[in-house]
Amino acid sequence: MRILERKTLTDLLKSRLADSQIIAPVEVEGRLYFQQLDPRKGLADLAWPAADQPSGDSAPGAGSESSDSPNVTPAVDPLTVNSIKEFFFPRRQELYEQTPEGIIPRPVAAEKKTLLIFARPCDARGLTILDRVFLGEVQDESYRRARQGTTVVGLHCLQPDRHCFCTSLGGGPFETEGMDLALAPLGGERFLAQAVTEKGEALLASLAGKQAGEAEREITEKLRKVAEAAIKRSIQVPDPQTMAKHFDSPYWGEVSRACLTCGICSYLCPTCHCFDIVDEGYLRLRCWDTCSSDTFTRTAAGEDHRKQKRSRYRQRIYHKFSYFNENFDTHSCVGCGRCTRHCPVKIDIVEIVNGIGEAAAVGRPAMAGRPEAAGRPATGTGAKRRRSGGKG
Amino acid sequence: MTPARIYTPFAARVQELRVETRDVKTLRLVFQDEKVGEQFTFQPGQFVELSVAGEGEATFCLASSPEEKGFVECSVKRVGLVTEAIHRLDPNALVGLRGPYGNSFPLGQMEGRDLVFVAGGIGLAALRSLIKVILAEPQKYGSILILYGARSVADLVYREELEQWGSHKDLKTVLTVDPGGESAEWKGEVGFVPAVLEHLNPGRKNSTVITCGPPIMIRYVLAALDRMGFDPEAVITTLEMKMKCGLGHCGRCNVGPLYVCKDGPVFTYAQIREFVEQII
Repeated sequence: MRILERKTLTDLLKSRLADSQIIAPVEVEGRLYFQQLDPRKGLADLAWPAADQPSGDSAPGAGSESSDSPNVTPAVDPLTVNSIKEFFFPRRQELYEQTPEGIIPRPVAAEKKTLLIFARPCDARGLTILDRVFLGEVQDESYRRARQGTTVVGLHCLQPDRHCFCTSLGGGPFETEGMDLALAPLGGERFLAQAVTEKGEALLASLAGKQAGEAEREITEKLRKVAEAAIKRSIQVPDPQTMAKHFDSPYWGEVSRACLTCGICSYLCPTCHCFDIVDEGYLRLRCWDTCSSDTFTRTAAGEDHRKQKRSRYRQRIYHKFSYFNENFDTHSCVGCGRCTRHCPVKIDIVEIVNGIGEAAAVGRPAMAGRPEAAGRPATGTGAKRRRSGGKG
Repeated sequence: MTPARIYTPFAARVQELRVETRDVKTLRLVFQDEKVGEQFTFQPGQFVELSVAGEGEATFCLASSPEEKGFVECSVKRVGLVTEAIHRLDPNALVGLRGPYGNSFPLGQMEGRDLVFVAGGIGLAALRSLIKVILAEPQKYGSILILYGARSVADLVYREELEQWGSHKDLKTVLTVDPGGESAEWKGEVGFVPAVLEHLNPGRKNSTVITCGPPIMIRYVLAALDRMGFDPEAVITTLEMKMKCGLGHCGRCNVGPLYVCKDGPVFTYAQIREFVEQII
C-alpha cells in the first residue's frame, strides 16, 4: 500500500490522455456521469472526488491542509447517474453490415488502452457479475477486449447515501472486487492506494508515492467502519423456496402497478445485461434492452409469455434474485440503489424484495417506513390466491 | 469498440424457395463459401439465426437432415417482418446465417424405443430433421407413429414427404385437421391433435413422445400425456421463444433458471414441468 498525492494522479491522467482513453466522473448540470474525457480539454471536465468527506466527526486531518486545486466538485450525489457498464457493454454497438450483396464486418479499430478512474466499489463489482455472463461458456470478444484493455482504478466510498445497500449483498464501501487498483481517500489531496490485480500492481509501481504507514492504515480502517455504518438499508433476499412459493402471488400485480415500463432501472443498472439485436438500414446493431418492455418477449406471431406488466416486473426481480444466483452463484445486484434513485415513480427494489416473504403472502406491497402502513397486521387472509389460469 | 464477431453470420444463398402452404415456404440455402458448407455440422433439434439485409434477424430450426450435405433447409411461416422478407426473396438472394445453436434431440436415448411424434402446424419443421435421421436407420428404433395436425387441409406442410414417410414399414402416419378445416376429399382425421392423440392411445411402455406445435397444442398434448400416464422423462418437446443472441447472453428466452437457447430448445417434460404455465 502506498500513499499517492493528488498531483501524482493528475500527472498520471495528463500523461495518459495522449495515448489512452480516460473514463472518469464528469459533472453535468449538477450530476455526475461517467464519461470519456475529451483529450483536447485536458482534465478540465474531471470531477475530482474532493467532496468525498467522511460523514460524522471522524475526519482525518491527514493531508488536507492545503487546497489550491481548482475543479473541486461541490457536494453532489457521489454516485454517477450511469454505471460503468457501458464502457464494456455499450448502449449501442454496430455488429456488422449486411447488404443484399454481402456481409461486411465492421473494421477493427486500433485498440486504445483505457484507464477508468474513480469507479465506486458497487460499479467495479458489477463488472465481475457481467463477466459471468459475457466471459462464460461463450465469450463475447468485444466485452473481453474492453475488459482486458481497461485498468479500473476504484474509489472507496466515504459517503454512501440513503439508497445504498451494497453491504447486504456481499459488497461494501471499501471492497475492491472488480478493481485493479483501489484508492481510499485520505482527505481530498491524498489517497491510500492498494493494488488488487497484477494490472494494478504494474500501475502502482509506475507511480511515485511513499509506503503507507501504520497511521494511514488505521485511518483507513476507521473510515471503512464509518462508511459501512453509514449504510442503513439492507436487502433481505428470501431463500429460493420462499421465492418460488410467492411466484404466483397477486403481490406482483400490486408492486408493479405504478411501473411505467420505462426501463431506466435496467439501463442504469450495473448488472442488467439484456439486449436486442436490431437493424438500422443495413447496419445490424446490438442495443440495450429491458425485460420491462412489452416487446421483450412478444413474438412476430403475437405469442407472449410475459404479456402482463406484473409478469415482466416479476421477471426482473426473479432474474436478479433467484435465477441468476442459481446459474452463477451470486445475485445480479450490487446494491448501488440506482434503480430506486432514478425511478420516476419511486419503485423501491429493497422494499419489494424485502416484502416478498411476508407481504407477498397477503398480496400487499411492503410499505416499510410509511406511517400509515406501520403496524398493519400481516394476516393470512387471502394468502396464496393463485392466478386464475391464463398467462402471467 | 470492436465488433462482436460471435454475431457475424455466414453468407448463404437461396437455392430454392419451395411453397408448402399459403403461408409457409421451405428455404434451401447454400453457403457462399464452399468450405463453410463442408464444415457446417449440426444435430437435429438445433437452430440458426437467419437474417435478411435491412429487415432483421430471426430464429429458425434446421429442418433438413445433417446427413444432407451441401445445403440446409428451414421452413418459414410468414408472420412478421423477417419472415415476410424471406418469403419475398429471389432465387440466389443472399441471407445471413449464424449457428447452429442450442442442444439437440437425445438420439441415443431413443434407440430401441417406440417413437411417437406429435406435431401441429409449422411445428413439424422442428421434428423433420430428427425424423429424417431416424428414417435413415429405422432398424435402430421400434415402431414409429407420426401424428400431425393443422388448422385445415391447406395448412398441412410436407404433404409429399409425409406420404413417403408413411410408406416405411413400422411407420404409421395419422393426419388430422381441426374441426371445420376438412375438405370434401379429406380422408384423414378431423379433430384437435391432443384429442386424436388420446383416441389413438399409443402404448406408453417403451415409448418416447416427441412433440412440437403451437404453444396451446403443446400444453394440451402434455396434459393428455399426463392423463395417459406417460413418464415425463420420456416426453420430449422443443420450445419456441423469442430469441436474439442464441448464446444465453441477451436474456430474452429466460424462463426460470433456464435459457431456451442454450439449455434447450429441446427439453424433457420433466425438465420444464414446473415452468409450463409460464412458457406455453
